[in-house]
Amino acid sequence: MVVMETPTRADVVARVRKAARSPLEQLRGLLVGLVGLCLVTGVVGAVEIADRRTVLTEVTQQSIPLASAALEVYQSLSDADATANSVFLAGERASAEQRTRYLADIERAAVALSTAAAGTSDATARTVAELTAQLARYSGLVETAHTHNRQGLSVGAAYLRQASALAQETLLPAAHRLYRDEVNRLVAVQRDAGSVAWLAVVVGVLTLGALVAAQLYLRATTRRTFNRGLLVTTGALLPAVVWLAVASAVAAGHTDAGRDGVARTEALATARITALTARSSEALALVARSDAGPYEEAFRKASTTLDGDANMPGSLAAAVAKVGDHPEAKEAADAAIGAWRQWRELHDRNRADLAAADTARSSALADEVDQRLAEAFGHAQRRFEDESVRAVDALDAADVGVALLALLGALAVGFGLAPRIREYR
Amino acid sequence: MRLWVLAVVAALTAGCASAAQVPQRPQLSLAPPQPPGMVAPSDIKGARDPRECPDGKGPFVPERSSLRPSGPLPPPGTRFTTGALSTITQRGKVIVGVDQNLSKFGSVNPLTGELEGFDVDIAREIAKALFGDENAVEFVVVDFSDNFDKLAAREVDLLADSITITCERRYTRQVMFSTDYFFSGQRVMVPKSSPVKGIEDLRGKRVCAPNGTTSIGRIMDPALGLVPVAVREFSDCLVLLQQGQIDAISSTDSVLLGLVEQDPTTHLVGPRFSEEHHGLAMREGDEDLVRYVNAVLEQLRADGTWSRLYGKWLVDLEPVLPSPPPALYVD
Repeated sequence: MVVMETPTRADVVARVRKAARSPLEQLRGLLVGLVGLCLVTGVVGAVEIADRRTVLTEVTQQSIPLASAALEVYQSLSDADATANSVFLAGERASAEQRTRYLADIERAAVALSTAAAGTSDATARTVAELTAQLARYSGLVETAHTHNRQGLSVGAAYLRQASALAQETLLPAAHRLYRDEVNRLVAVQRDAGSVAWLAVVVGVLTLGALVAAQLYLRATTRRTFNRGLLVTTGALLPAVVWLAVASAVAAGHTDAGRDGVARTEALATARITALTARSSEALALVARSDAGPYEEAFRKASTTLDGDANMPGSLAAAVAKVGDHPEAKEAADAAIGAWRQWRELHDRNRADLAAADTARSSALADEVDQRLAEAFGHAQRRFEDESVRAVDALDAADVGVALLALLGALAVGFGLAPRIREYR
Repeated sequence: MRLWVLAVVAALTAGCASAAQVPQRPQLSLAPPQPPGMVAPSDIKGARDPRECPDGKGPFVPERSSLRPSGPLPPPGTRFTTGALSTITQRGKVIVGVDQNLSKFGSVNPLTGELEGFDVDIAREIAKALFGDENAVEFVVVDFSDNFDKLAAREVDLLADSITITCERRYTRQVMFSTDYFFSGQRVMVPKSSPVKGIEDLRGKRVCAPNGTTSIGRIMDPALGLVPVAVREFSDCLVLLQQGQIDAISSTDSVLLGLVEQDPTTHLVGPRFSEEHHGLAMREGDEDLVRYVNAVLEQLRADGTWSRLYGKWLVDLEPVLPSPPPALYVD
């Protein structure tokens, strides 16, 4: 058995120093180092861009449709409840339009729920499942009420009350929860994705620095002024780094604009939900024929919220303040405020003299408020969607592009340094 | 070089891959739908037996607890100058609290949207006596969760809500009842498919009545061993019965009649196990109104109007159209 003599620490250091001083070893080290830096730049850049693109694509493909589907569920259910109650109130004088409107509401809620179900996350899957199951129950109760009413049986009113309680106490809170969850997720995702890819840019700049240093070193140690391979590498990496910086910055800019869009649509959506609550409370108070009951209280509460200042979530003032920079949305929101003032006055007049109450006009004004807010919401939503799509577009092909340029750079390093290394053989 | 490419590709795809997992369907267990105002078991409150009085009050005879008319009924349109009657005649209409979900007594006709029933007609007769116009009445909708509160808050002049005359209500609610304007007793309503033959078969079963009524008071009697289910309206009980959430409804047969008529798969079983005299309720301070209403009721008994109205709404309650309950007074 041969006993190997363990080299001392000093021996090793000396041997490495000697090797490093040898030109061949130095060239080999340069080759490995530069190729490594190019590849790291490519990988980090591609991963950072791909991450952002995945997230921002999810925002446009999933989060936005989900949040708006959740809002649609709320809106259509609230309208279905108010309409079902008005139909009951009118008895056999109820128009076919009102009945059609209820059916259309249920259809819209079902379609919106299927959208929500298709793209739902684990966290909201339960809420969507619950809404789907309860919607079937809700429409069953309303139809039972309808059938009894047609036969002149007063138990129909009891079925309708049960349906309405299901809508008010279970379905609407669940739909609101779904909307909140989706908006919160949207905001969180955008916050993560909406930044410049600094890490990749820094790595890229360092690589460029190393390339310049390597070329200066080669000029000093060889007879050639330029190394063509390393020039190609520099030519590939410089646009890659610029592309990285510009694409991620533009995407971040659009994402910031989109984030304002979330705040804008949210303010409008909350105001709309409040107005819908006022509308359905008014309809329910009429069915209950009770002017001092809990429904009037709910109307008062919604009314106070709608009239609140710009700091109050759900107020019309807050909605207008948020869409201030968007002329079309602002015009629609202002029209909503006008209709709301008329509605509020009529509501008080109706309550003062129940016998002469003009409930048809009151219901028409409520529709007007809802439609105007829906219009403003539509404008704000479209702008928000545009910004989000632009953010994704800005990143288009950047990941693959940066990776390919970096790979090209790495190859060129090899082609540039291989002949120099061969010279030592 | 090929290894590097593989490494790059691997690094790129690693960023996109997620932990593979087949998503599970959410497990739901939805509670059955409930009527609004369903009362938690611990909050159920029943009215006490009609003759059972609060401490220091009584004895009390429900059918003999009201005040004698102060004379013959004055002609319609008379302007009263004092008391509750002056307020009513100055206003030009009487405000009456009626139920809107009590079939046969006060309910909304789903076809016309109008209130109708025995109580509604009695209220119209009072308006006719006061103003010569049966439409000089404003109906305020009440139920057993708020009827006495609305009376105390002066939102209504009187309640015509199929209310059982009880000593407890007389003194704790500070109301005065009119003379007995119809008589009935508590029975049990079950699906025809149910083997239940009477209240004694319902031990451990869920039995429904509105909160605050004498009916739920008896259902809560520990000796019967029932599981009380309290709701806001009588018709809520019928919905729960049709949905299979309860086993029976128990209330006065006059109320149950209106429910059975809406569902041919149900019937009444067992004998009456209570005696309930019903009165219109007024604030005890409005003595002049109490005496006036009793005078109207005497006239309705005498001129055949009572029998006509009873026959119109409650004809199926008993085999023979009964005579009006006698008018008895404490003074």
